[in-house]
Amino acid sequence: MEDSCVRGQFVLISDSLTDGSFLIHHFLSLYIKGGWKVCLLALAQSFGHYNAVGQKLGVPLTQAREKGQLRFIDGLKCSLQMYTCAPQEGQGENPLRALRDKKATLRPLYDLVKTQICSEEGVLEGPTLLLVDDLSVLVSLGVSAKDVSDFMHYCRVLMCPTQQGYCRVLMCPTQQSQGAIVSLVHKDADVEDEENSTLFRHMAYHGTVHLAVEGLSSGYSRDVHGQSNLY
Amino acid sequence: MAASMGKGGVTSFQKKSRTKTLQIPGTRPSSHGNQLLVSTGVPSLDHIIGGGIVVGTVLLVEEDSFGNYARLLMKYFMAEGIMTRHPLLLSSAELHPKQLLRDLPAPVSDDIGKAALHQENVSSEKNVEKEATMKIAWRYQNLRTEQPELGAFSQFGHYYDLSKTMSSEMTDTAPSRLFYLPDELPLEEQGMWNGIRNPAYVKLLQSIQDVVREGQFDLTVPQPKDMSRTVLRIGLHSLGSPLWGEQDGGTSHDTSLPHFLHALRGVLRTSLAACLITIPTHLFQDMAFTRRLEKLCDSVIRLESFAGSEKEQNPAYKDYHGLLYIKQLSQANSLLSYMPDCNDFAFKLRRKKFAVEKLHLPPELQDSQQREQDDPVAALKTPSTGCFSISGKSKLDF
Repeated sequence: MEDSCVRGQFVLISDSLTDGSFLIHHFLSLYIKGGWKVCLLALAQSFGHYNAVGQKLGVPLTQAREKGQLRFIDGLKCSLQMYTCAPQEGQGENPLRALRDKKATLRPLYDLVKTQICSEEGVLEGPTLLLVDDLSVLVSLGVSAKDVSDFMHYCRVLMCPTQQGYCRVLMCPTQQSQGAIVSLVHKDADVEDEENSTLFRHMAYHGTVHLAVEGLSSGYSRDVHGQSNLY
Repeated sequence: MAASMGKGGVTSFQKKSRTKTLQIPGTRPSSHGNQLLVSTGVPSLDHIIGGGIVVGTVLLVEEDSFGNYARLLMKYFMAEGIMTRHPLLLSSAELHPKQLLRDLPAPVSDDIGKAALHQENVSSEKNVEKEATMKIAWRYQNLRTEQPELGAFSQFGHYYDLSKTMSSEMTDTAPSRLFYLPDELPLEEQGMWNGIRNPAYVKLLQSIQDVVREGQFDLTVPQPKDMSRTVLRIGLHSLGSPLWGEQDGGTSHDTSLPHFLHALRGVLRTSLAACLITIPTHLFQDMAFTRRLEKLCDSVIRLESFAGSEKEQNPAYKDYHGLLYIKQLSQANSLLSYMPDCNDFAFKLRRKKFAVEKLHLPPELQDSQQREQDDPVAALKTPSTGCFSISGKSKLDF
């Protein structure tokens, strides 16, 4: 189990006309069982959802959360708060300020992620995974693809610093990257969604592994749900 | 949160603990996962979406061009809520919600009979009938003849008669909160809004939150154990229509409705509520916008009516009034959504009821088919058999 949790990877999951979120559950259970520290940035579902699936997969998420192995960032709650609060009050601490304020970026969200997983010096302590579910929700809520891409770039630098191939020579060889990122982007083939396509292209460029999940080319079948390719 | 309260129990390691199922009349646990379901009011529709609407999720109905069938589904949903004594929250911008409620289909008569029977005092009924002493089954002599818990309101899914309307005493006594947009938000505020949030949607979400809080549907607030709980039914009719202030026909840049849906999901996941939304997506110019809305809802079906289109004359469709597409099914609290065994459904509206059925192609269409070039059977991309005889005939004719 330990060997399959690879460090220094930025895994991008994309789904087209189907739902790739089962892979999020898979990675979540894999890394929690592997003993990694996981930060789950949940923008699409509530904690109860991951917990319910986790119990079926044999991973007790509530206990992991209490112990501190799992850090959960509740995107739904932040978004709801941003939506219903009056303009003057309550915006101060919300990491999703960018949803109301056009001039803000996702910097507060990055700061929150950093405080959740790093020690006081700002360095990763032990192997850590950042799991983002999912980035297309941010685009749907109005954040520009560029802002999301910048956010992911900062996260990648935080989690996997030795990833850039051409920089490897210059980096100190003892600095082994401790972290990994897995994120999900929707990329429906039948619809032209420019922002999502732009975001996908940026993420594919940054990523080391791309898992594409799609339906069967021969049509809908009940028993076989789809196919996935690895790039 | 909704799942941990509503499901059949804790993990298998703790078999001895008490099960925490919520016994709410009018709901039933899903066979697919540990979730609570409510009925949409149309049993055939319940069957194809996996048993019903999962409590805590949203069912999106993409409207047909004239909106009739979507309005009918909304009426069924509300009627089911009245029959099961679930409180209602109904919002509408064009039609006053009271008008919608006045026109609900009446339940089929034996259900009313059962409901009336329940309301009578069971003991007085026993006194009236003569108790003939049982000779054979004398052990059962002392048991009650009637089980008072099983009334019509705890049944899941009722049958309705569209030719009659529900009595006004039933609709008036049902607990409901109506949101009629012109009353809630004065016209000046509705018209032009700059900024990211449409005030109409914000007002609607705030009233939903108020109802959830006041009616004690919120699952994050601990309630006394013996309090009987019920499910709130939220119906949002024709959201996203131009009357709600959707400008530009919903281009990708307008994030007001997606943000509303995302925030609504945040409210619903921690509440005992189920939501049915109808949106006229055929008005939106940008398919990407529709796709984003779909991703933010849990289950999505689309209605396409034949009225006024060339499909009306198509002999393959002659029994039906429209097609129903399942675009997405709820994945909340489970790894996979419910997988139906086929995806070709059509609906028909008879005089008394609305039903959804699997679309079957007849094995051979009649010779009265005049125009071979508009071969309807070849145009249907269903995996059923029977296409080959027709297309063979047209080849020979050329």
